[in-house]
Amino acid sequence: MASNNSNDDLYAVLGLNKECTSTELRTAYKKLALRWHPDRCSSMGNLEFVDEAKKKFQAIQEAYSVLSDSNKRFLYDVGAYNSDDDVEDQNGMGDFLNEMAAMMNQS
Amino acid sequence: MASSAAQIHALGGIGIATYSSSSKSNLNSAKRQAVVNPENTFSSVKRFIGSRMDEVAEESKQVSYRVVKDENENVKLDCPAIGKQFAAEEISAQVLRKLVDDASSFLDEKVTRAVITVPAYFNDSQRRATKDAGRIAGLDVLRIINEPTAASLAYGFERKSNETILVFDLGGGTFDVSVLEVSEGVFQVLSTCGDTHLGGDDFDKRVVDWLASNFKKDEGIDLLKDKQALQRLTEAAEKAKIELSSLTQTNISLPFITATADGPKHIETTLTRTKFRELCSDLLDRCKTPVENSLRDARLKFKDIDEVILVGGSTRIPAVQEVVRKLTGKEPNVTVNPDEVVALGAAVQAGVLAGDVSHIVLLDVTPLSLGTNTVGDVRKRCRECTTSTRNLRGSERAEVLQVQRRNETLRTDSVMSKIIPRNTTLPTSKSKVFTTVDDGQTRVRFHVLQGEREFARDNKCLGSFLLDGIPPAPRGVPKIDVKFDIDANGILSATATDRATGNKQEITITGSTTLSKDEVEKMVKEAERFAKDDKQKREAIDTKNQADSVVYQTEKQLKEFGEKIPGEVKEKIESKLQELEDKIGSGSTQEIKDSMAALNQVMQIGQSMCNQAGPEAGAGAGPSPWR
Repeated sequence: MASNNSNDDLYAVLGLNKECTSTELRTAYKKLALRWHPDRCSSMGNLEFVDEAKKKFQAIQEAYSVLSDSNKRFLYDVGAYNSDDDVEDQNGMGDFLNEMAAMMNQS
Repeated sequence: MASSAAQIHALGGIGIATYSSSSKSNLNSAKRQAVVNPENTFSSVKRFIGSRMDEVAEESKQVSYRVVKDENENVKLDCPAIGKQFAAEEISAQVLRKLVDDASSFLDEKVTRAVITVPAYFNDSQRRATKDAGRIAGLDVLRIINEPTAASLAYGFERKSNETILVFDLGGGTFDVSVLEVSEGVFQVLSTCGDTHLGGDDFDKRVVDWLASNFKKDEGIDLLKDKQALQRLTEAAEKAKIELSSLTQTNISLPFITATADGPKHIETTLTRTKFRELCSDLLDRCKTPVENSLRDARLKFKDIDEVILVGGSTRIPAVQEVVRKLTGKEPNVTVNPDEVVALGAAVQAGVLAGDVSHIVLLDVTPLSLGTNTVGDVRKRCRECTTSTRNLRGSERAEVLQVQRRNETLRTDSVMSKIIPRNTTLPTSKSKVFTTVDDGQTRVRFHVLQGEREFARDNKCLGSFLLDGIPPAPRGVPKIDVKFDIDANGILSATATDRATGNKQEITITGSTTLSKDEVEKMVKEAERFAKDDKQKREAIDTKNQADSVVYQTEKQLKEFGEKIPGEVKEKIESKLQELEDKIGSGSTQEIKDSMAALNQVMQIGQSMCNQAGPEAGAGAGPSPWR
């Protein structure tokens, strides 16, 4: 579930630390995707393994979708990111987040 | 790669989009057929698959056959010749079966599994229906993939560099745009946009309307009401369109298009590229929006795009290429064959799934947002209250509760609450918490919606499901987890769980556009029966053709070597030859086969005598022509 992931360390999911650059992020994500995407192991016919790969891939995907967006990464770093906001129409959620980001930038 | 290529093809590489390229002879004969027998010749079926009648009202007027609706408002195609109404899935299945048969005989290997491509902007119903079509054709459908993505796979397969590419795919009936990032074997779709009601057929239609309105002005006769004339107009319009891709003007000549008391009427006119462009100017404009939207969704600018790839036959239209050139500021890449590239990409994906291609992974997205209906006004209130809880509790705030009406049908003021936003990478699963709107409410009906519109009823309703047995509680107290899961085919499954009781309800799609399991099973059986009939018919034709060539070869050999064969043997051959010719005219397949065997026997006697007569003559006869 998405909401549980926000407690996990998204950087650790990608095998990175907090200081990583966006290029490092992208490289790590692609390497992991190439390894864990369910298609990569579907030919083996092992359903259990495919299922595990799917879970793992979704966690990688979730982490990358947050950290590759500079706005979301900023919020995540300061502990204010909530994945539920993702789902809301993007304009609507912007109000509060932008306000907050502006406040952070001022200080 | 060459060694595994055959295997890849054995697995798939079948694009529904590529009807025309994969079975051209079939298509052309169907097009001729369409003129003589318009009501019983089906084309552009892809436009109707997985759709309700009200979604395809415009398209149904443009085809030569009759499109009707069944009791569920779903589309059926009427075939008066055999008095049956077909689901679009069944017609597609026939096409798939033909493609698979062709592939099987080419590879000399039975094809049982396939990767099928669909327009990226196809919704869940259309994808399910396409998968059903595959099953009706007796195929195990390994994967449904998006056409522009498939094209990018074929394009990027052998390339090493890191690139951001935009695929512009304008086919016969649909239009897709996808933006991808390709690097180190990872094909990542950043965004997809499209128009499922725009394609080459629309360009043809503009020319048809132009021809018909001119004719009406001159002769006072409405040709659009005459199915046969309409079919000839459509054929001429398509031909003119194609010619205008290489010429600046073309002649349209339709003799005897209709007749009045004064005698036959003809159409004889010239269409210039400029005029064609003018007729289609609004269609060309409609190509722009999806390009702009896909870039915005990918958070990119035109300058970030390295390559623009044109896919689909309609991108051969110079005016379309010009729109792309002007919009992107780039010379479009025309190194790929726009008709074949999609099927090639499907073959690459088949190779990945079979484990034959190991250095590639495709990360595709869902083209449309998925969600459920909520009550608009209460939702707004909820948002306010969550904002206040957020202020109070910071990151520990309560989950967003959204409210669900009890009523069964979609209310006009229901809004769509998105659970999975568009352009989310697949496979994915996301969940959200909902609650009740009334005190003591024990049941909730969820409508599963797909689309981008604010109000629920403006989106495609894929089906609905009911969660019952919620313990009575004040409104806003029960918590219901709704989980949506999209598999790699882009096909959705949904569950709702009541936290208090653990009651779980999975979606059973009701009142949807796709066929039920029973219907699909029935169609699979019917299709198998048809396939048997078809096989017999084909065998008959093959035997006849074979017999014809045996007759021809025998006559030829008799003429060449006749003198070297003793008279009685020659007579025998001639009589058997006559017998075979008679059977070709009127006999059954088995009788023709028997006569062929008999003739073969006497011919072998003749041949051996001929060889004895002189070795040089025998060598001259070359390999036996009858085998």
